[in-house]
Amino acid sequence: MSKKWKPVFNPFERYPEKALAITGTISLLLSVLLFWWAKQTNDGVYHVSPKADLSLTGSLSEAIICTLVVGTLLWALGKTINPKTRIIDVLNATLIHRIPLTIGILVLQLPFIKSVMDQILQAVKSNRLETLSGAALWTSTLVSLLMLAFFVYAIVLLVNGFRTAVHARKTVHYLLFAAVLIVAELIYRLLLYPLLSTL
Amino acid sequence: MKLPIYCPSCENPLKVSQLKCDSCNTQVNGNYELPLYLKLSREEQDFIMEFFLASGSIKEMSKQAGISYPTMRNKMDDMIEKIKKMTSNV
Repeated sequence: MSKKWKPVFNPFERYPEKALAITGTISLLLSVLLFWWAKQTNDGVYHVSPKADLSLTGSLSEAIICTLVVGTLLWALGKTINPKTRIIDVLNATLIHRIPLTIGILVLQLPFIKSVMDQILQAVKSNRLETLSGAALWTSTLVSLLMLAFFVYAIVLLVNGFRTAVHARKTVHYLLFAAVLIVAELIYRLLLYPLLSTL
Repeated sequence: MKLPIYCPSCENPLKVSQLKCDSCNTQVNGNYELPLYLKLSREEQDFIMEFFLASGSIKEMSKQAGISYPTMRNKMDDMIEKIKKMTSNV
């Protein structure tokens, strides 16, 4: 990776923990407002769906719990791999990696994209997909690719943040990292979200 | 002048074979090991010196180098590992 792009893909190598923590916390709070305004619920750590009656408390709880579940599990894994791992470094990685995901939700709220998504939803509901215009299909394909790019970028940030915090070097560390993300998704989706959705 | 620590021909570690007194020209010949510090690369020696000058504070070093604390700590851990290996091979 060139020096120019390193801070973009691995800001954890360069920036001090305070700057990362402030940026991460501000972006988390902005994402709470965005999710609440857009009425989008985090029904999985990496899954979002519409929820018309989402409250601000609900949005805040989801954002905090999602971050804490991933952060705590990764920190526990980090401590096992390297006892010198600090919770602040893992939490910073968890907070910062959610920024691209938040930007993704923001992009989906752009009026012309929202309108295309609504058209597709209506067409699916009425089982008349053939009525969709070429432009709508192209837009939805491009938006899907863009969302995929945001998701990949988020995971790259989390991997790099974890690697820097833990000094992970072996393949087994990355396999355990992937396993922890799956466990976090399961814990959140099956145990925590059903409790949070009542808020 | 940079002290060579590896043989330019076969790349094995070099040893000290001669020491000389500049004042009376006495020469001592033998087969001496280089001290551990001198077996490290110039960058690694500089790293240790910077660590010493920063009063052993990785945080201070990371500030001076413009990199994050965990990155500096990881560099330090890599060096510790290297030195441990070197000392265990002696």
